[in-house]
Amino acid sequence: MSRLLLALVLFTALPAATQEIHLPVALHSLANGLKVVTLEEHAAPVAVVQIWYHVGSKDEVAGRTGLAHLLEHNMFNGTHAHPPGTFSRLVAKAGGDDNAFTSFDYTAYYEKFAADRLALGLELEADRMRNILLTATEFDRERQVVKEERRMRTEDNPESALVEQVNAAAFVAHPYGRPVIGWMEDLDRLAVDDLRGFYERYYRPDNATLVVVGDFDTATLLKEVERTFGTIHAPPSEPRRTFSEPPQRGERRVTLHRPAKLPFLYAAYPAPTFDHADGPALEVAAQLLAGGKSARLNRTLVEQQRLCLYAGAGYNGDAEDPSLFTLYAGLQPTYTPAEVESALAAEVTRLALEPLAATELAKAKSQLTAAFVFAQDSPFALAMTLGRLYTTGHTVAELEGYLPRIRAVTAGDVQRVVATYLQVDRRTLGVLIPEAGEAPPPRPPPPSEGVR
Amino acid sequence: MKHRVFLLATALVAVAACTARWPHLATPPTPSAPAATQAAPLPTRQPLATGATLLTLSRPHLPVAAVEIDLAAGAARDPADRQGLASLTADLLDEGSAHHTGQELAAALESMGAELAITADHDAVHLSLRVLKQDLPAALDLVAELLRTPAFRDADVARLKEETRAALIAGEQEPNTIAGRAYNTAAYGDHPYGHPANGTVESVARVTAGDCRDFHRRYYHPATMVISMVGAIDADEAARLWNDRLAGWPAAPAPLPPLGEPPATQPQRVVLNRPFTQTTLILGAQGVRRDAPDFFATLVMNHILGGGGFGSRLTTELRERRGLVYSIASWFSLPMERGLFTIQLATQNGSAAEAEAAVRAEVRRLHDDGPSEAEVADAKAYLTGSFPLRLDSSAKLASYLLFMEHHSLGLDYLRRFPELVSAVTRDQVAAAARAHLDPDGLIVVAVGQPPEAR
Repeated sequence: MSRLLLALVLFTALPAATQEIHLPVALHSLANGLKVVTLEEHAAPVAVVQIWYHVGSKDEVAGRTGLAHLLEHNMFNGTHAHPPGTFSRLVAKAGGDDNAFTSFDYTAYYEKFAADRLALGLELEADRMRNILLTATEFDRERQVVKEERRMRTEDNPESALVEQVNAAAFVAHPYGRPVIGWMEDLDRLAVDDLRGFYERYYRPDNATLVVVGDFDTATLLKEVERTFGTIHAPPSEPRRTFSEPPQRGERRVTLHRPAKLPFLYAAYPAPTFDHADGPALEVAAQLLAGGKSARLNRTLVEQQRLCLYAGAGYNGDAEDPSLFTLYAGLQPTYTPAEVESALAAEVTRLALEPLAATELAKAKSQLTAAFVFAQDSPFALAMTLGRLYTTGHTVAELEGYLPRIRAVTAGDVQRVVATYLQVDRRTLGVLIPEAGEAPPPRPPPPSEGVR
Repeated sequence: MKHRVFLLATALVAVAACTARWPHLATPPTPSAPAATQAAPLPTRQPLATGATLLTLSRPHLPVAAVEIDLAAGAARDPADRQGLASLTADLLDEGSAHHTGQELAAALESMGAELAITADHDAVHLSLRVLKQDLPAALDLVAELLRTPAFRDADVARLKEETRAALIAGEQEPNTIAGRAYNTAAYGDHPYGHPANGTVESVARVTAGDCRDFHRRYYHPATMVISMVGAIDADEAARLWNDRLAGWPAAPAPLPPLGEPPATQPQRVVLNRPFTQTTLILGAQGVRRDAPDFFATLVMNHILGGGGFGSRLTTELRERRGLVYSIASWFSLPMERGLFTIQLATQNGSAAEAEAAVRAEVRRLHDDGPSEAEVADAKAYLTGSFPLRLDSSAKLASYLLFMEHHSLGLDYLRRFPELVSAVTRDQVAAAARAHLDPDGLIVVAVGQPPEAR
């Protein structure tokens, strides 16, 4: 086991007495290739164990979308050592919570415990890294569960349905265009053998990062990690597939007719990752547009022009490959998407062309700085940040560099990145047009129909 | 209403980026007990000169303070013809004060990087502030100013009414919102908890700036104000900060009249035909008061039925055995007066009848036979072992201190919790199931297109 201990000192915009925040992140690796990232944090008597696999929906092939996420569900269905139905019960008996999540780039599993129970998390995760039982019966039932999840998240949520359609149009080559949860038709097509192949290929120590944050002693913990994960064999690996998206030349438009009550607008622009030189300025631009009540979109579109119920922006610089900068707006019922589209465009133009006041820029930076400090109050949030960084090929150096890079952003940088990336010719614009729905004519309401 | 902006932003990011094995349920936190490794913290309680109550817990590891405040100015105090008034009044607090416009207040707070959220439920208006320690005095100046001297300018009232109207219309495309409102009305009837906290399109249209001013004058008083501060602050410093900012705020003219005990719930069936692919089902009935003698037995009982996610009977039967649902949960809400017992799930329309029958069978089984000894032991182990997880951040601790104060649980409650849960026996849990689960007395709300709606 090699070991490299970094003591991180993060400087925030605080007075001298409270200026230093130490994040003593320690990095290790086992002989089988498992990366281990630990952070002792003694403010609360809790610990978080997370295992991150560098595999997500972008590693699926066309016609088999939803595979990574469906496998995540099946990872709770038992091993020889821990038979079906026992995983979460063992964790709960120890007073712990567990869950998992799947993204485009990664799949992660976690347990949260009172600090003295965390060894159980290590043992369970080590066991299911190579030993999961995948049976057709369990698979079929879990597929039904995931289809219910899709109905809830997407089919019955018109804004989500539009986001899915815009993503699909925004990427023509990169698999970021496919929904993580999978298309309903693909979910029906998947078979347990698809899962098995995916599991054997990607669930392995040299494709995983173990993150532990909380109230423990690192030396003791590392012995336990070696004992539980050290004996896992890493099979020969296959080269990772990589993707790139060709440059977009011309606007794309998506219209979605769905049962809904209010129109919704969603615009997506290709944008680089945060580690690109333009990343920090894009982060600041999103904050200027949508970082709170006094940010531009709320101030103008919601409060002054009263076109929208809400309006926002987001920059996804955390993805492994270049992803999207997005703008969105939920319309007041009296306005049309075309009116709001031009109001949104006017705000983008104003940010690109008009001088940016120093106080407004300073406000955005203060917000990003404070949010960075707030996030350290939660062991879970810290573990999430570390897990994502190490899984997508970054290190704590990126965390260390976050605030200095934000602070270095100038008004000119913001104007330049907005002019460069938020161009009409580079966007995919989606519009949700509400329709009444396929419901049969309502029957006379029963006396107990008490909504109004 | 306006806070929807941030909720939606979060939801969209989640949809775009991530999908989880198990939903983060919007159920009330389940209290449980600390592990023996580290003593639970002991907060300080100080009555302030104006009649407000201050709770402080020092947590100096980060230069941050979490502040939670509430006042008994919630929707239960809405006049009958002005439903939504309390909520609108709360939404208008940061839309302008005697000295600043809403945009000035927001810009001042956001320039510090502070985060302020204001919401109202039936019992109270809640203010939630997160701020760097260095900015705490300045942020509290603004919070005190907007609480004490909101302007309720006509233009702002008109704009917020318009936003509320749009939000209410938008709520009509959200299955959980539709079902929750119908259930609340069915369960509470004419009790002050029975109308929707944010009103209806018609009732909000009637509200005037004068109504908001009157409501504020009548219900915003330090006497019902509870403040909780957790973070890089000590109790004396916190008291000084608040005594300065509350000085001269007159006490309430008279104590608030009690809301009264909600009436017993009556079994009924509400079916709302809406164009969804799933049917959202709520089954429920009256719950328990927090001061009920069998509260802890009820807590354990609910954990076994449907409070505990994987391992609970409802999840085992409906998700793990039948694959009918992505999520199902049961909970007992704990407002100031007696709350509700609620089970909620969503399943494809064609499965609605099977899901409802399965839920009823589980309710009946626990009611008739009670739990096993092993189930009770496991539930107690979870509830006592997981407590530190509920309190692992300053904001979570601050919220929990308010809950403790409102229900008079005592400052040492965090330390006493393990023994209170551990003392529960199987027979007490079986008795709680007989007392609080009535398989034949359930209200049912179904929203979607179940076969019965066609």
